[in-house]
Amino acid sequence: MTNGSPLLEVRHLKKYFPIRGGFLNRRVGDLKAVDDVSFSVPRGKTLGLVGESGSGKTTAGKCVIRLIEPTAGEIYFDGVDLMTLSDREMRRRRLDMQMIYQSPAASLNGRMTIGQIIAEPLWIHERLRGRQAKERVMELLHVVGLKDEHYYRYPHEFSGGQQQRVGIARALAVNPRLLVLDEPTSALDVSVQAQVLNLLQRLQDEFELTFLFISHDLGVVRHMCDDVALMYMGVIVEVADFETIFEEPKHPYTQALISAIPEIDPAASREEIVLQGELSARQPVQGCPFAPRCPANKLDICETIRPELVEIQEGHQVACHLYPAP
Amino acid sequence: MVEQSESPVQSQYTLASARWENFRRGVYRFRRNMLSMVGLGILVVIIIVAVIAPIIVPYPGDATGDVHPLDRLQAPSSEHYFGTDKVGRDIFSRVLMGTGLALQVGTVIILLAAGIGVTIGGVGGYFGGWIDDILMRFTDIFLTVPALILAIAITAALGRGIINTMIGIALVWWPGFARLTRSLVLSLREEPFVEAARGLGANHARILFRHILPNAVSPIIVKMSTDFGFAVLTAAALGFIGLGAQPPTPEWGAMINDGRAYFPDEWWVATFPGMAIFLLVFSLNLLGDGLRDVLDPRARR
Amino acid sequence: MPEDTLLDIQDLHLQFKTFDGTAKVLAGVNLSMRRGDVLGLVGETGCGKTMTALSVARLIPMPPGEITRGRVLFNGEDVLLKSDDEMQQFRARHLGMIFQDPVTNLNPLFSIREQLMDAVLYRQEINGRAAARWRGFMPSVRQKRREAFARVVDLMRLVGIPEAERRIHEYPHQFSGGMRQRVLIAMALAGDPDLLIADEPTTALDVTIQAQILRLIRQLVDQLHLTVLLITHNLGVVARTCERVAVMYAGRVVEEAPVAELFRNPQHPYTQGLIKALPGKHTARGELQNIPGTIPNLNDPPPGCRFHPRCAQVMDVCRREVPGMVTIGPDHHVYCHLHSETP
Ligand SMILES: Nc1ncnc2c1ncn2[C@@H]1O[C@H](COP(=O)(O)OP(=O)(O)OP(=O)(O)O)[C@@H](O)[C@H]1O
Ligand SMILES: Nc1ncnc2c1ncn2[C@@H]1O[C@H](COP(=O)(O)OP(=O)(O)OP(=O)(O)O)[C@@H](O)[C@H]1O
Ligand SMILES: [Mg+2]
Ligand SMILES: [Mg+2]
Repeated sequence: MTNGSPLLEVRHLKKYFPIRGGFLNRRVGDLKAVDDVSFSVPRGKTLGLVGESGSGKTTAGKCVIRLIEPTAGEIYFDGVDLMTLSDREMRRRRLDMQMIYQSPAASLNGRMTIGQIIAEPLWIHERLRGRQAKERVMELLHVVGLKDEHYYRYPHEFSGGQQQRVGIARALAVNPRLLVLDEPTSALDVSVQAQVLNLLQRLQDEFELTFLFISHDLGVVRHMCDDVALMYMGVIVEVADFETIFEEPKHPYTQALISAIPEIDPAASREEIVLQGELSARQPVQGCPFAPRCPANKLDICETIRPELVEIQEGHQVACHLYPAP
Repeated sequence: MVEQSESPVQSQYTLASARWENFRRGVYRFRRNMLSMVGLGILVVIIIVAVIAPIIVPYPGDATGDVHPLDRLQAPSSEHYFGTDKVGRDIFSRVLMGTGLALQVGTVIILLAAGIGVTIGGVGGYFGGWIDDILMRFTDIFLTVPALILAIAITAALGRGIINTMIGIALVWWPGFARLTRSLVLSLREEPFVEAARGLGANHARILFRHILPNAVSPIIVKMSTDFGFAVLTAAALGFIGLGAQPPTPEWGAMINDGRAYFPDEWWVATFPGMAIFLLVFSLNLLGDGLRDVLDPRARR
Repeated sequence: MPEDTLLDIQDLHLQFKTFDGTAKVLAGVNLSMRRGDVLGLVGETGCGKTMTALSVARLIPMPPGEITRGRVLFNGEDVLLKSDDEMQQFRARHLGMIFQDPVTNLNPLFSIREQLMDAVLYRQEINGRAAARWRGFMPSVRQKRREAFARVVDLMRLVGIPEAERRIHEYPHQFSGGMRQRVLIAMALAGDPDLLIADEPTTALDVTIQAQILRLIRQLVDQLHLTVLLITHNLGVVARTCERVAVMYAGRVVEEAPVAELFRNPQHPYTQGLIKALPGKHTARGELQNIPGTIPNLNDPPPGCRFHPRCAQVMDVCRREVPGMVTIGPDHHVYCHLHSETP
């Protein structure tokens, strides 16, 4: 538990969803939403988890805090493997790790007032209620830039950006150390997005928070993250610090994705690589999951052997046969 | 650096005024729906009638056992607005005096049925798995037997009388609520705000009672209001075959049953209680539609 | 008005009556498009982009909606004056529309073929009515269906759906999001429209799929000489796809310019704010620029320029008067008092 060790370390995380069908709705196969993923997040840093829809980002994020049960893997939080905890121990542990959700409106109970929503974790973990709870809630409202009078309002009376602030206040109520942010701004307009991103960075500095930042928006990720991990169909295909990812992407998928960022600065946009085909629901049984869409000159083994994530430079890992281990 | 944020509408709210505001919005939405206003109007009249019936009806005694054999089967007139029945009782008085009973019967049946149904459906839907399987098979057994026949059987087993009728009907009525609640809970269970509650560390009881059920309340109340009329109708049907209220109780179903023998020549004996049932069922159904709009604070218009 | 103007929206006002009062959703929208234009309409949620597009097609629910002022000239004819019958013909002949959500706009119960056939047959019906009367005979139903089917397959090829003959028999759920969006584009093209209105066609899609669809739209523009109104809130999408862009704020167009010009040289404070709010390559930590405040309540909009409560360079006149159009450069117009000669 030295300070040098990462706050969160995930090893060989897997989550398979059963695919049901046929007679009596039997399990006919597995949807490998997350298939052997490993990463770690140092204290106070932000790891970006990037990928297209269905690549397993949300599933990975929820598995990390055991909101859904992983199929396999080890999750070390501050040195303790969360997978070994009982349900009840896990519930108590939740005050260390909180999540911000993609859709701010849907993640707030429409029948509760803002005050009740933010006070809920205080009651669950500290049995605070009444005056004391109200004071803490007011404090939290101010921290996220909301006002006293918002205490008695209902979520639907707020704009998206304000709803997201309520979600953030609720998550901060128990002084967590890790925040899993699942596309916290994808439902928001750009000018509101800017407010929420600024708020998150301020809170990170103030409370020494560690972020797992899930997003498909590379522009936002570039702004927010220290390290970036790219997911494609349940596997991580490339990990590096953000500068390396944006300046020297190695994996053909990373390259295509970065070229597809719609930049408004003509100087910044590069030769667009338009990928053929789409993410299909299921991985090919063998070979590289990206092979069917890969624009690079494919090698024979791409179709047959799944590439491992290998370190090609200090802190830069790629899973692609074009970059064999040195 | 504290960033500013502006509220969409600047105002000083208190909890009470926020509630009041939502209530007013609900009333507004409700009023936009003409038919539900009509339903509400009829229902209010019916309730008032139920309360003041003993004072306004011309022959209150006719509801409690008086008979006037000499006046039997008289056609509607200014003396007997709805005519008289086979023992000379004033049908107008009996119909009005029966209103309160009909309302009581509906209320008791619906509350009992909803209580059982919401509990079974809620628990089954929330926990899923074998608990759900067992509860739902149990519910299905009730659903496979035709409701009316089952109600007749249960009531007959318990013995005649209005109380037993209500118990009997409630016991066949709850599966509808169980099914409805279960399906609501099944979909609400997957809502992000429920997952968020789990993420906060909330336990099962808290999630089910604080988060899921409050959000399932509107459709359940709507079903209660529409079912109310049908429950009264079913009670009337049991009264009609002689299982429900015993004479001389002015129960509408029993009154129709009495009039059956005289139809169509002395049509009034059965027609007026029938119209009373129709009015009650009709108003509650219209009302139920309007409630759907009122009860959802998010349905802004 | 130049010869080749296809669409000219002038001073369009639209309001909705609600419980909270009357929402003045559009308050003087001015927008014109030449034939062959690819115009991006951008702005934040609720600023009236969709409502502007729906006004052109006269698809606003009325009531509660009401167009209180303005003209929508299409080929010089005012769309707002047409009868409902004429409007139906007009939509079938001249307009193609694509909406944001490809899932809800395809009926899950019918195969792609049936839905595309319907679209094509409907167009033929409307276009054919006049022609058939003229020729004095109606083509047989079988022949019509055969022609329609051929057209459907052509359309599917046109929008780049591989193996069109086979996939045409599948159902919407068997198509991925990007493929569904292609089907919707095919449907919109069924009647050979003059104007294609695409309302956030890529918002629900992934970046790489978005790139495919935008490229397809560009291709169709070149191939079919379409005029496209592309509604989006993503400035990057506009930069990639459009030639001109109009920025909307709270029910009015505030700036209109060629794409490169707008990004290089934005003139309206709101446009400037929007561009700065995007996380760029070199934005420092915690220092994204944001536009303070929130969008106004449309029931009680600020008088004068609707942006003035959030504007750093607000002047007295901004609070009183609605700014008129000021021409900054070739094809670059801005509605802002900062640029009026006589403030
Ligand atoms: N509860 C579930 N049951 C079955 N399949 C699921 C479930 N949750 C997710 N999946 C599947 O797992 C895969 C990964 O989903 P996930 O939500 O993690 O993707 P994502 O990367 O977060 O995508 P998005 O950007 O759309 O949010 C998808 O194919 C999805 O359909
Ligand atoms: N039926 C209606 N009743 C009242 N107000 C309405 C109605 N329909 C739309 N509005 C209002 O009209 C305004 C403009 O809506 P519109 O759909 O055009 O926005 P938009 O710019 O397309 O936004 P988005 O990016 O979210 O699609 C919004 O503020 C909305 O609240
Ligand atoms: Mg997700
Ligand atoms: Mg829109």
